[in-house]
Amino acid sequence: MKFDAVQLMRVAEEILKYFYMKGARHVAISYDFGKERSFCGAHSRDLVLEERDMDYLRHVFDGPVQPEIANYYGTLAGRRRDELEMELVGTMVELDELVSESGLGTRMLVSRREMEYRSSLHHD
Amino acid sequence: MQLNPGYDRQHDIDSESHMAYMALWVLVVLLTLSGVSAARFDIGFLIRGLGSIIRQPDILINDYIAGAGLGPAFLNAGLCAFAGLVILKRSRVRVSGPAIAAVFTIAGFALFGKNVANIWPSIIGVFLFSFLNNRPLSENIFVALFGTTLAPLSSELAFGLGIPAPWNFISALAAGAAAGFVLSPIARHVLDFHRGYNLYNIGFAAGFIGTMTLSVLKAFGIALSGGGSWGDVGAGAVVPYLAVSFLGMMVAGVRVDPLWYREYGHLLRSPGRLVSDFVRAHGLGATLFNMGVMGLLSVAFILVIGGDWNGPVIGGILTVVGFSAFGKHPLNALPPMIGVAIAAMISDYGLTAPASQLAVLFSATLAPVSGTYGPVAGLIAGMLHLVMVQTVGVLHGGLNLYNNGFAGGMTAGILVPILEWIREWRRHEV
Repeated sequence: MKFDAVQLMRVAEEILKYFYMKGARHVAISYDFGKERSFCGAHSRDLVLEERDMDYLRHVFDGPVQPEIANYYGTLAGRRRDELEMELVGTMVELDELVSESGLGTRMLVSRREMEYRSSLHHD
Repeated sequence: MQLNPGYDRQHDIDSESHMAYMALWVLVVLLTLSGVSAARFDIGFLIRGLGSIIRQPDILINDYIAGAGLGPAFLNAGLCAFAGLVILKRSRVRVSGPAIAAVFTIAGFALFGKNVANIWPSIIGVFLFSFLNNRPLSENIFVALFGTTLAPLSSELAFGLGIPAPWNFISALAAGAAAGFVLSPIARHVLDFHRGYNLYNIGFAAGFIGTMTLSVLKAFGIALSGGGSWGDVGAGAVVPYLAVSFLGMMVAGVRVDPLWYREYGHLLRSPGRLVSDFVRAHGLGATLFNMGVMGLLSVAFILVIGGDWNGPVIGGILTVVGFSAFGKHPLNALPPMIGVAIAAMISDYGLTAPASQLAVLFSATLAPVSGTYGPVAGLIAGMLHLVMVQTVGVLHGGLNLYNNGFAGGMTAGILVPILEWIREWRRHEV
């Protein structure tokens, strides 16, 4: 299995854990594995995040993806039972969509580009 | 559990990364100038001293200040930090917490084991690993930089075992590169054992490589040489300079971010587990301030226990300062440090033994244990760390410079599952 696909699955586990700890009990996870870019979506209809939670998530994903951290330490994502590693997730994927509204619930979409592609994209 | 540590403002990571890069240049210049001025601008003495440093076998503990003098030792530290910085620049990675920790660690250990010649074989090995995996070196940059912990392996083969030239240099290069090559997968694998509660993870991975290497050498009746060098230049020769440098870091932090104190409050609540990139999460201002505080605390700790002032101790302080951008702060680092001091005093080891002094500083590798499970857990972790660190060095024979990382990984790997179970049991979650 491709390393990037495994990394994205670990990211999904971390997001799933975040949703669960915030009170969600019905969560749908979906993947779309592409050649150069893969996506992971999480949707919970029974979770509405507070504004400070949204601020936190925006902060986490505000920085750039850092392959040098993600590649080495990424194996820690999704492994701990009781601790969240969203800051680590922020170095592994880009946030494409974050919506949380009453009635709609919370939807998060993240994506991960194939490593070499990303390395050449971010550094000129 | 803290689900949402507060954040008062967004930081421009790219501009702060550039400032952090410049700060590392300041470190390189300071170390180099310290070396040159300590040698009273005697270039001949510096070159002879560097030659002497390079020709030493470097088995742990090998104090370059005792062996070659303050000037050559600091010049070597400046040159090694320069090499690390150039590799970072060439790899085009952003300079944040782990990069700062890596450069400070290289500089610190360049006072007792790493030098401008022996750091390259393992870096070449990591480069070859990246190349064969069709990935850029930047993705393994931290393994490459921290992986210089295995530098004594190359020095030992080149100068310690009596192998005739050129085979000594060929075997040193080949063995160092082979160790660097396998380090990357092993380092990722052993993260699972301690789950990020040991900050010096490469030291843990390198400990296994060193153990295997020593076992092979023993099987052929080859004994290691060198090590056991430990001096004392006195507090007066270094403490004022260190104190001014760390105060300077605190002032720089305040200048970089006028609102540093708000982020510093959040930083102090961080458990410090891998990956705790303080620059990314809290900004460069609060991070520099924290590095200065931790530097002063480390100096104060050594003064209080009556420790010696030499390459290993100064190197230990520089490593603590570097990792204060990547997980350590006073609240999570002090409990294990105090734990080591207590264990040293009540055991046969004593507080002034070289290994105890180093363990006091490097036990902060277990800062995430106290950051997550509380100061009592941190204290116990520190006490256990001391007894482990006195024993595990025998396994790799001093080939792994990060002996405390090796011991810390074992201590965390044993303690964390127990602490986790206790916490879940108390919450009725088992």
